[in-house]
Amino acid sequence: MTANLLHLIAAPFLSIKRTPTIKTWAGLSLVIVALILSGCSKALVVSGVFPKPLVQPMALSASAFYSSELRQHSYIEASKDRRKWTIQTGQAQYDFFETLLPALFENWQIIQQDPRAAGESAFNISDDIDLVIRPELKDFQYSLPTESRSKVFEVWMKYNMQVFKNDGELLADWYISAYGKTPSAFMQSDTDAMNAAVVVALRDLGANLSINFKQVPELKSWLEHNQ
Amino acid sequence: MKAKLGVFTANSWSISAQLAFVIILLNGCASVTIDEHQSAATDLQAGQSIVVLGRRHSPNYETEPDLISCVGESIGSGDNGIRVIDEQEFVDQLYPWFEPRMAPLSPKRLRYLLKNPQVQSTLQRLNLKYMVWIDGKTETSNSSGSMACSPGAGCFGFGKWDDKSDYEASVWDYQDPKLVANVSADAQGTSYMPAIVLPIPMLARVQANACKGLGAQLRSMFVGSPNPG
Repeated sequence: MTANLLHLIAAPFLSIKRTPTIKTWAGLSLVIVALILSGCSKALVVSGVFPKPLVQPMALSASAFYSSELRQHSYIEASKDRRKWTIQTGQAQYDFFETLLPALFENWQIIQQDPRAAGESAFNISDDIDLVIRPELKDFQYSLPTESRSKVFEVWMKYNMQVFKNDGELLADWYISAYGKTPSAFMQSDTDAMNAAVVVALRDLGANLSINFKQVPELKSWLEHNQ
Repeated sequence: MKAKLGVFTANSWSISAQLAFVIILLNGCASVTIDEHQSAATDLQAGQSIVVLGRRHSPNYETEPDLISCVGESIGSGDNGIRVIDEQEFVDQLYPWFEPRMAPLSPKRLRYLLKNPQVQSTLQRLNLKYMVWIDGKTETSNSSGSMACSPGAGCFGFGKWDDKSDYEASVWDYQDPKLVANVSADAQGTSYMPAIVLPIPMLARVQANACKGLGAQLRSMFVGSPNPG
Protein backbone atom coordinates (compact mmCIF):
# COMPACT_ATOMS: atom_id res chain seq x y z
CA MET A 1 0.00 0.00 0.00
CA THR A 2 2.78 2.39 1.05
CA ALA A 3 4.88 1.36 -1.96
CA ASN A 4 1.91 2.02 -4.25
CA LEU A 5 1.39 5.44 -2.69
CA LEU A 6 5.06 6.34 -3.05
CA HIS A 7 5.03 5.13 -6.62
CA LEU A 8 1.97 7.27 -7.29
CA ILE A 9 3.62 10.36 -5.83
CA ALA A 10 6.99 9.80 -7.47
CA ALA A 11 5.76 8.60 -10.85
CA PRO A 12 5.48 12.01 -12.61
CA PHE A 13 9.02 12.92 -11.55
CA LEU A 14 10.61 9.55 -12.22
CA SER A 15 9.11 8.97 -15.63
CA ILE A 16 12.00 10.29 -17.65
CA LYS A 17 11.52 8.04 -20.59
CA ARG A 18 7.78 7.69 -20.55
CA THR A 19 5.34 10.60 -20.43
CA PRO A 20 3.16 10.66 -17.28
CA THR A 21 -0.36 9.70 -18.07
CA ILE A 22 -3.46 11.69 -17.16
CA LYS A 23 -4.27 8.92 -14.68
CA THR A 24 -0.94 9.43 -12.88
CA TRP A 25 -1.39 13.19 -12.64
CA ALA A 26 -4.97 12.73 -11.43
CA GLY A 27 -3.73 10.33 -8.76
CA LEU A 28 -1.05 12.78 -7.67
CA SER A 29 -3.58 15.60 -7.49
CA LEU A 30 -5.84 13.45 -5.32
CA VAL A 31 -2.99 12.67 -2.93
CA ILE A 32 -2.07 16.38 -2.67
CA VAL A 33 -5.70 17.38 -2.06
CA ALA A 34 -6.02 14.64 0.58
CA LEU A 35 -2.84 15.84 2.30
CA ILE A 36 -4.07 19.45 2.28
CA LEU A 37 -7.48 18.45 3.65
CA SER A 38 -5.94 16.30 6.36
CA GLY A 39 -3.89 19.33 7.43
CA CYS A 40 -7.12 21.29 7.90
CA SER A 41 -8.96 18.70 9.97
CA LYS A 42 -8.46 17.85 13.62
CA ALA A 43 -9.65 14.70 15.36
CA LEU A 44 -9.71 14.48 19.13
CA VAL A 45 -10.84 11.80 21.55
CA VAL A 46 -11.12 13.68 24.83
CA SER A 47 -9.49 12.01 27.80
CA GLY A 48 -8.86 13.19 31.32
CA VAL A 49 -8.58 12.22 34.94
CA PHE A 50 -11.31 13.63 37.15
CA PRO A 51 -10.88 13.94 40.91
CA LYS A 52 -13.55 12.92 43.41
CA PRO A 53 -15.29 15.92 44.97
CA LEU A 54 -14.50 16.72 48.56
CA VAL A 55 -18.11 16.91 49.77
CA GLN A 56 -20.26 15.21 52.37
CA PRO A 57 -22.27 12.51 50.56
CA MET A 58 -26.07 12.62 50.90
CA ALA A 59 -27.60 9.80 52.92
CA LEU A 60 -29.42 8.43 49.86
CA SER A 61 -29.14 5.62 47.39
CA ALA A 62 -28.98 6.91 43.85
CA SER A 63 -28.28 5.73 40.34
CA ALA A 64 -27.76 7.14 36.88
CA PHE A 65 -28.82 6.31 33.39
CA TYR A 66 -26.46 7.34 30.58
CA SER A 67 -28.00 7.39 27.12
CA SER A 68 -26.09 6.09 24.11
CA GLU A 69 -26.11 9.68 22.77
CA LEU A 70 -24.14 10.77 25.81
CA ARG A 71 -21.79 7.79 25.87
CA GLN A 72 -21.01 8.11 22.18
CA HIS A 73 -21.21 11.87 21.82
CA SER A 74 -19.06 13.24 19.06
CA TYR A 75 -19.07 16.84 17.90
CA ILE A 76 -18.42 17.20 14.18
CA GLU A 77 -17.89 20.72 12.95
CA ALA A 78 -20.44 21.46 10.25
CA SER A 79 -19.53 25.05 9.41
CA LYS A 80 -17.70 25.54 6.12
CA ASP A 81 -15.91 28.55 7.58
CA ARG A 82 -14.19 26.63 10.36
CA ARG A 83 -11.59 23.90 10.52
CA LYS A 84 -13.04 20.41 10.45
CA TRP A 85 -12.85 19.48 14.11
CA THR A 86 -14.17 16.14 15.31
CA ILE A 87 -14.31 16.06 19.10
CA GLN A 88 -15.36 12.81 20.75
CA THR A 89 -16.44 13.56 24.32
CA GLY A 90 -18.61 10.49 25.09
CA GLN A 91 -16.13 8.42 27.07
CA ALA A 92 -14.79 11.48 28.93
CA GLN A 93 -18.33 12.50 29.93
CA TYR A 94 -19.08 8.99 31.17
CA ASP A 95 -15.80 8.85 33.14
CA PHE A 96 -16.54 12.26 34.61
CA PHE A 97 -20.10 11.48 35.73
CA GLU A 98 -19.09 8.09 37.10
CA THR A 99 -16.46 9.78 39.26
CA LEU A 100 -18.56 12.73 40.38
CA LEU A 101 -22.05 11.38 41.01
CA PRO A 102 -21.16 8.32 43.16
CA ALA A 103 -19.26 10.67 45.50
CA LEU A 104 -22.41 12.75 46.11
CA PHE A 105 -24.39 9.82 47.55
CA GLU A 106 -23.75 7.18 50.18
CA ASN A 107 -24.89 4.37 47.84
CA TRP A 108 -24.58 4.25 44.10
CA GLN A 109 -25.40 2.01 41.15
CA ILE A 110 -25.85 2.24 37.38
CA ILE A 111 -29.11 1.16 35.79
CA GLN A 112 -29.77 0.12 32.21
CA GLN A 113 -33.37 1.27 32.09
CA ASP A 114 -34.07 4.73 30.72
CA PRO A 115 -36.60 6.35 33.04
CA ARG A 116 -37.67 8.78 30.34
CA ALA A 117 -38.28 6.16 27.69
CA ALA A 118 -39.99 3.68 30.01
CA GLY A 119 -42.58 6.09 31.39
CA GLU A 120 -43.97 5.94 34.89
CA SER A 121 -46.00 2.74 34.45
CA ALA A 122 -43.22 0.63 32.92
CA PHE A 123 -40.34 1.91 35.03
CA ASN A 124 -39.35 -0.86 37.36
CA ILE A 125 -36.26 -0.56 39.51
CA SER A 126 -35.32 -1.62 43.00
CA ASP A 127 -37.04 0.17 45.87
CA ASP A 128 -33.61 0.56 47.43
CA ILE A 129 -32.86 3.29 44.91
CA ASP A 130 -34.18 6.70 45.93
CA LEU A 131 -33.25 8.77 42.88
CA VAL A 132 -32.28 8.25 39.25
CA ILE A 133 -30.21 10.93 37.53
CA ARG A 134 -30.27 11.32 33.78
CA PRO A 135 -27.75 13.80 32.35
CA GLU A 136 -28.01 14.80 28.71
CA LEU A 137 -25.67 17.04 26.74
CA LYS A 138 -27.80 19.54 24.82
CA ASP A 139 -25.20 21.85 23.34
CA PHE A 140 -21.45 21.93 22.76
CA GLN A 141 -19.58 24.97 21.48
CA TYR A 142 -15.97 25.99 21.24
CA SER A 143 -13.86 28.96 20.26
CA LEU A 144 -10.29 28.94 18.94
CA PRO A 145 -7.60 31.59 19.59
CA THR A 146 -7.75 32.57 15.91
CA GLU A 147 -11.47 33.28 16.23
CA SER A 148 -11.52 35.12 19.56
CA ARG A 149 -8.22 36.96 19.01
CA SER A 150 -7.16 35.85 22.46
CA LYS A 151 -4.63 33.27 23.53
CA VAL A 152 -7.22 30.84 24.87
CA PHE A 153 -9.20 27.84 23.68
CA GLU A 154 -12.74 27.98 25.10
CA VAL A 155 -15.46 25.34 25.46
CA TRP A 156 -19.09 25.71 26.51
CA MET A 157 -21.32 22.75 27.36
CA LYS A 158 -25.00 22.86 28.22
CA TYR A 159 -26.65 19.96 30.03
CA ASN A 160 -30.20 19.00 30.77
CA MET A 161 -30.23 17.33 34.15
CA GLN A 162 -33.27 15.25 35.08
CA VAL A 163 -33.88 13.49 38.36
CA PHE A 164 -36.54 10.79 38.68
CA LYS A 165 -38.02 9.07 41.70
CA ASN A 166 -37.81 5.29 41.86
CA ASP A 167 -41.38 5.02 40.51
CA GLY A 168 -40.37 6.89 37.35
CA GLU A 169 -41.94 10.23 38.30
CA LEU A 170 -39.94 13.23 37.13
CA LEU A 171 -38.81 15.09 40.22
CA ALA A 172 -36.55 17.83 38.84
CA ASP A 173 -35.64 19.05 35.38
CA TRP A 174 -33.14 21.86 34.92
CA TYR A 175 -30.38 23.14 32.66
CA ILE A 176 -26.83 23.68 33.73
CA SER A 177 -23.92 25.13 31.78
CA ALA A 178 -20.20 24.59 32.02
CA TYR A 179 -17.29 26.62 30.76
CA GLY A 180 -13.66 25.75 30.29
CA LYS A 181 -10.71 27.59 28.87
CA THR A 182 -7.05 26.90 28.52
CA PRO A 183 -4.26 29.14 27.27
CA SER A 184 -2.41 28.19 24.13
CA ALA A 185 1.18 27.45 25.04
CA PHE A 186 4.42 27.26 23.11
CA MET A 187 4.92 23.82 21.55
CA GLN A 188 1.44 22.67 22.65
CA SER A 189 -0.72 21.16 19.93
CA ASP A 190 -4.22 22.46 19.22
CA THR A 191 -5.71 19.07 20.09
CA ASP A 192 -3.96 19.02 23.49
CA ALA A 193 -5.22 22.54 24.24
CA MET A 194 -8.78 21.64 23.15
CA ASN A 195 -8.65 18.46 25.26
CA ALA A 196 -7.60 20.51 28.28
CA ALA A 197 -10.42 23.03 27.68
CA VAL A 198 -13.06 20.24 27.57
CA VAL A 199 -11.65 18.70 30.76
CA VAL A 200 -11.75 22.12 32.49
CA ALA A 201 -15.39 22.53 31.34
CA LEU A 202 -16.32 19.13 32.80
CA ARG A 203 -14.56 20.00 36.05
CA ASP A 204 -16.54 23.26 36.10
CA LEU A 205 -19.75 21.27 35.65
CA GLY A 206 -18.66 19.05 38.54
CA ALA A 207 -18.02 22.06 40.76
CA ASN A 208 -21.47 23.44 39.98
CA LEU A 209 -23.26 20.11 40.47
CA SER A 210 -21.52 19.08 43.66
CA ILE A 211 -22.25 22.40 45.37
CA ASN A 212 -25.65 23.28 43.92
CA PHE A 213 -27.35 19.90 43.44
CA LYS A 214 -29.15 20.18 46.78
CA GLN A 215 -30.16 23.77 46.02
CA VAL A 216 -32.37 22.94 43.01
CA PRO A 217 -35.79 23.97 44.42
CA GLU A 218 -37.65 20.72 43.65
CA LEU A 219 -34.82 18.60 45.03
CA LYS A 220 -34.39 20.80 48.08
CA SER A 221 -38.05 20.38 48.90
CA TRP A 222 -37.96 16.62 48.31
CA LEU A 223 -34.77 16.19 50.34
CA GLU A 224 -36.31 18.05 53.30
CA HIS A 225 -39.00 15.38 53.48
CA ASN A 226 -37.02 12.31 52.51
CA GLN A 227 -33.55 12.57 54.00
CA MET B 1 48.72 26.34 3.47
CA LYS B 2 49.12 26.73 7.21
CA ALA B 3 49.11 30.53 6.96
CA LYS B 4 46.00 30.45 4.81
CA LEU B 5 44.28 28.22 7.29
CA GLY B 6 45.34 30.54 10.10
CA VAL B 7 43.92 33.63 8.37
CA PHE B 8 40.71 31.79 7.63
CA THR B 9 40.38 30.68 11.25
CA ALA B 10 41.02 34.17 12.59
CA ASN B 11 38.39 35.63 10.26
CA SER B 12 35.85 33.02 11.18
CA TRP B 13 36.50 33.64 14.89
CA SER B 14 36.07 37.35 14.33
CA ILE B 15 32.78 36.88 12.51
CA SER B 16 31.53 34.46 15.17
CA ALA B 17 32.51 36.85 17.96
CA GLN B 18 30.70 39.73 16.24
CA LEU B 19 27.62 37.59 15.71
CA ALA B 20 27.67 36.42 19.33
CA PHE B 21 28.02 40.03 20.50
CA VAL B 22 25.05 41.11 18.38
CA ILE B 23 22.96 38.18 19.61
CA ILE B 24 23.82 38.89 23.26
CA LEU B 25 23.09 42.58 22.70
CA LEU B 26 19.72 41.91 21.10
CA ASN B 27 18.81 39.08 23.42
CA GLY B 28 19.23 41.33 26.43
CA CYS B 29 16.43 43.75 25.50
CA ALA B 30 14.22 42.96 28.49
CA SER B 31 13.69 44.66 31.82
CA VAL B 32 11.89 43.62 35.01
CA THR B 33 10.55 45.76 37.85
CA ILE B 34 9.64 44.08 41.13
CA ASP B 35 7.60 45.81 43.83
CA GLU B 36 6.88 44.34 47.23
CA HIS B 37 4.56 45.36 50.01
CA GLN B 38 4.75 43.18 53.09
CA SER B 39 2.20 43.74 55.84
CA ALA B 40 3.25 40.94 58.19
CA ALA B 41 6.41 38.91 58.79
CA THR B 42 6.55 35.41 57.34
CA ASP B 43 7.07 32.47 59.65
CA LEU B 44 7.59 29.24 57.77
CA GLN B 45 8.42 26.42 60.17
CA ALA B 46 10.31 23.25 59.23
CA GLY B 47 8.03 20.77 57.44
CA GLN B 48 5.42 23.37 56.52
CA SER B 49 4.61 23.89 52.85
CA ILE B 50 3.35 26.55 50.51
CA VAL B 51 1.34 26.37 47.30
CA VAL B 52 1.47 28.67 44.26
CA LEU B 53 -1.89 29.02 42.49
CA GLY B 54 -2.94 30.85 39.32
CA ARG B 55 -6.04 33.01 39.09
CA ARG B 56 -8.31 31.69 36.34
CA HIS B 57 -11.57 33.59 36.87
CA SER B 58 -11.09 36.41 34.36
CA PRO B 59 -13.01 35.96 31.10
CA ASN B 60 -10.33 37.71 29.04
CA TYR B 61 -7.17 35.91 30.02
CA GLU B 62 -5.81 33.08 32.08
CA THR B 63 -2.71 33.15 34.24
CA GLU B 64 -0.42 30.74 32.42
CA PRO B 65 0.10 27.34 34.14
CA ASP B 66 3.75 27.29 33.01
CA LEU B 67 4.35 30.62 34.79
CA ILE B 68 2.85 29.15 37.96
CA SER B 69 5.02 26.03 37.84
CA CYS B 70 8.07 28.19 37.02
CA VAL B 71 7.52 30.40 40.10
CA GLY B 72 6.91 27.30 42.24
CA GLU B 73 10.17 25.73 41.05
CA SER B 74 12.01 28.98 41.66
CA ILE B 75 10.75 29.20 45.26
CA GLY B 76 11.52 25.54 45.90
CA SER B 77 15.02 25.65 44.42
CA GLY B 78 18.22 26.05 46.40
CA ASP B 79 19.58 24.59 49.61
CA ASN B 80 16.82 25.67 51.98
CA GLY B 81 14.38 23.27 50.36
CA ILE B 82 11.09 25.10 50.81
CA ARG B 83 8.35 22.55 50.15
CA VAL B 84 6.11 23.76 47.32
CA ILE B 85 2.98 21.71 46.55
CA ASP B 86 2.26 21.23 42.85
CA GLU B 87 -0.71 23.36 41.74
CA GLN B 88 -2.56 20.54 39.96
CA GLU B 89 -2.07 18.14 42.86
CA PHE B 90 -3.44 20.78 45.26
CA VAL B 91 -6.58 21.65 43.26
CA ASP B 92 -7.26 17.94 42.63
CA GLN B 93 -7.07 17.09 46.33
CA LEU B 94 -9.38 19.97 47.19
CA TYR B 95 -11.73 19.61 44.21
CA PRO B 96 -14.04 21.47 43.62
CA TRP B 97 -13.18 24.21 46.15
CA PHE B 98 -10.30 25.73 44.17
CA GLU B 99 -11.86 25.53 40.70
CA PRO B 100 -12.13 28.95 38.95
CA ARG B 101 -15.82 29.41 39.86
CA MET B 102 -15.28 28.43 43.52
CA ALA B 103 -11.80 29.63 44.51
CA PRO B 104 -11.75 32.18 47.36
CA LEU B 105 -10.95 35.66 46.10
CA SER B 106 -10.07 37.09 49.51
CA PRO B 107 -8.72 35.85 52.87
CA LYS B 108 -12.21 36.50 54.26
CA ARG B 109 -13.67 33.97 51.81
CA LEU B 110 -10.88 31.54 52.70
CA ARG B 111 -11.84 31.85 56.36
CA TYR B 112 -15.41 30.98 55.38
CA LEU B 113 -14.22 28.01 53.30
CA LEU B 114 -12.21 26.67 56.23
CA LYS B 115 -15.47 26.08 58.11
CA ASN B 116 -15.81 23.03 55.85
CA PRO B 117 -14.24 20.24 57.95
CA GLN B 118 -13.18 18.21 54.90
CA VAL B 119 -11.34 21.17 53.39
CA GLN B 120 -9.68 21.98 56.69
CA SER B 121 -8.51 18.42 57.32
CA THR B 122 -7.07 18.14 53.80
CA LEU B 123 -5.15 21.41 54.22
CA GLN B 124 -3.88 20.26 57.61
CA ARG B 125 -2.72 16.97 56.10
CA LEU B 126 -0.78 18.94 53.47
CA ASN B 127 0.76 20.97 56.33
CA LEU B 128 0.09 24.15 54.40
CA LYS B 129 1.22 27.50 55.75
CA TYR B 130 1.03 29.95 52.84
CA MET B 131 -0.98 30.28 49.65
CA VAL B 132 0.52 32.39 46.89
CA TRP B 133 -2.08 33.57 44.36
CA ILE B 134 -0.69 34.89 41.08
CA ASP B 135 -2.85 36.93 38.74
CA GLY B 136 -1.72 38.35 35.42
CA LYS B 137 -0.62 37.60 31.91
CA THR B 138 1.99 38.14 29.23
CA GLU B 139 0.81 39.93 26.11
CA THR B 140 2.39 40.47 22.72
CA SER B 141 1.94 43.82 21.00
CA ASN B 142 3.42 46.06 18.32
CA SER B 143 4.31 43.29 15.89
CA SER B 144 5.98 44.68 12.79
CA GLY B 145 8.15 43.65 9.87
CA SER B 146 7.73 41.08 7.17
CA MET B 147 9.38 37.89 6.06
CA ALA B 148 9.22 35.92 2.84
CA CYS B 149 10.20 32.29 2.51
CA SER B 150 10.49 30.19 -0.60
CA PRO B 151 11.64 26.61 -1.11
CA GLY B 152 15.27 26.48 -2.16
CA ALA B 153 16.05 30.16 -1.51
CA GLY B 154 15.22 30.17 2.22
CA CYS B 155 13.76 33.09 4.19
CA PHE B 156 14.54 36.80 3.99
CA GLY B 157 13.13 39.65 6.03
CA PHE B 158 12.88 41.02 9.52
CA GLY B 159 10.26 40.74 12.25
CA LYS B 160 9.98 42.48 15.61
CA TRP B 161 7.47 42.39 18.45
CA ASP B 162 7.08 43.61 22.03
CA ASP B 163 6.09 41.43 24.99
CA LYS B 164 4.76 42.75 28.26
CA SER B 165 4.23 40.77 31.45
CA ASP B 166 2.18 42.04 34.34
CA TYR B 167 1.78 39.77 37.37
CA GLU B 168 0.75 40.29 40.95
CA ALA B 169 1.31 37.72 43.67
CA SER B 170 -0.72 37.81 46.89
CA VAL B 171 0.60 35.80 49.82
CA TRP B 172 -2.05 34.55 52.25
CA ASP B 173 -1.44 32.96 55.60
CA TYR B 174 -3.73 29.95 55.59
CA GLN B 175 -3.52 29.18 59.31
CA ASP B 176 -4.56 32.70 60.28
CA PRO B 177 -6.32 33.77 57.05
CA LYS B 178 -4.93 37.19 56.20
CA LEU B 179 -2.93 38.93 53.51
CA VAL B 180 0.78 38.80 54.32
CA ALA B 181 2.32 40.45 51.27
CA ASN B 182 1.82 41.61 47.70
CA VAL B 183 4.59 41.27 45.14
CA SER B 184 4.22 42.60 41.62
CA ALA B 185 6.38 41.97 38.59
CA ASP B 186 6.31 44.08 35.45
CA ALA B 187 8.55 42.93 32.64
CA GLN B 188 8.85 44.08 29.07
CA GLY B 189 11.09 43.42 26.18
CA THR B 190 11.44 43.36 22.44
CA SER B 191 12.13 40.25 20.40
CA TYR B 192 13.69 40.27 16.94
CA MET B 193 13.66 37.75 14.13
CA PRO B 194 16.00 38.57 11.24
CA ALA B 195 16.06 36.03 8.44
CA ILE B 196 18.97 35.60 6.07
CA VAL B 197 18.28 32.22 4.50
CA LEU B 198 17.40 30.92 7.97
CA PRO B 199 15.24 32.80 10.54
CA ILE B 200 17.31 33.70 13.65
CA PRO B 201 14.98 34.18 16.66
CA MET B 202 16.35 36.58 19.28
CA LEU B 203 13.76 36.25 22.00
CA ALA B 204 13.49 38.64 24.93
CA ARG B 205 12.13 35.88 27.28
CA VAL B 206 9.90 38.37 29.05
CA GLN B 207 7.70 35.85 30.86
CA ALA B 208 10.75 33.86 31.98
CA ASN B 209 12.31 37.04 33.39
CA ALA B 210 9.08 37.93 35.21
CA CYS B 211 9.04 34.40 36.69
CA LYS B 212 12.67 34.68 37.74
CA GLY B 213 12.13 38.06 39.43
CA LEU B 214 8.89 37.07 41.13
CA GLY B 215 10.28 33.69 42.26
CA ALA B 216 13.46 35.22 43.68
CA GLN B 217 11.52 37.89 45.62
CA LEU B 218 9.05 35.40 47.07
CA ARG B 219 11.83 32.98 47.92
CA SER B 220 13.78 35.63 49.80
CA MET B 221 10.61 36.43 51.74
CA PHE B 222 10.16 32.80 52.84
CA VAL B 223 13.86 32.10 53.38
CA GLY B 224 13.91 35.16 55.63
CA SER B 225 11.52 33.34 58.00
CA PRO B 226 13.03 32.29 61.34
CA ASN B 227 12.87 28.57 60.44
CA PRO B 228 12.44 28.23 56.68
CA GLY B 229 11.08 24.96 55.27
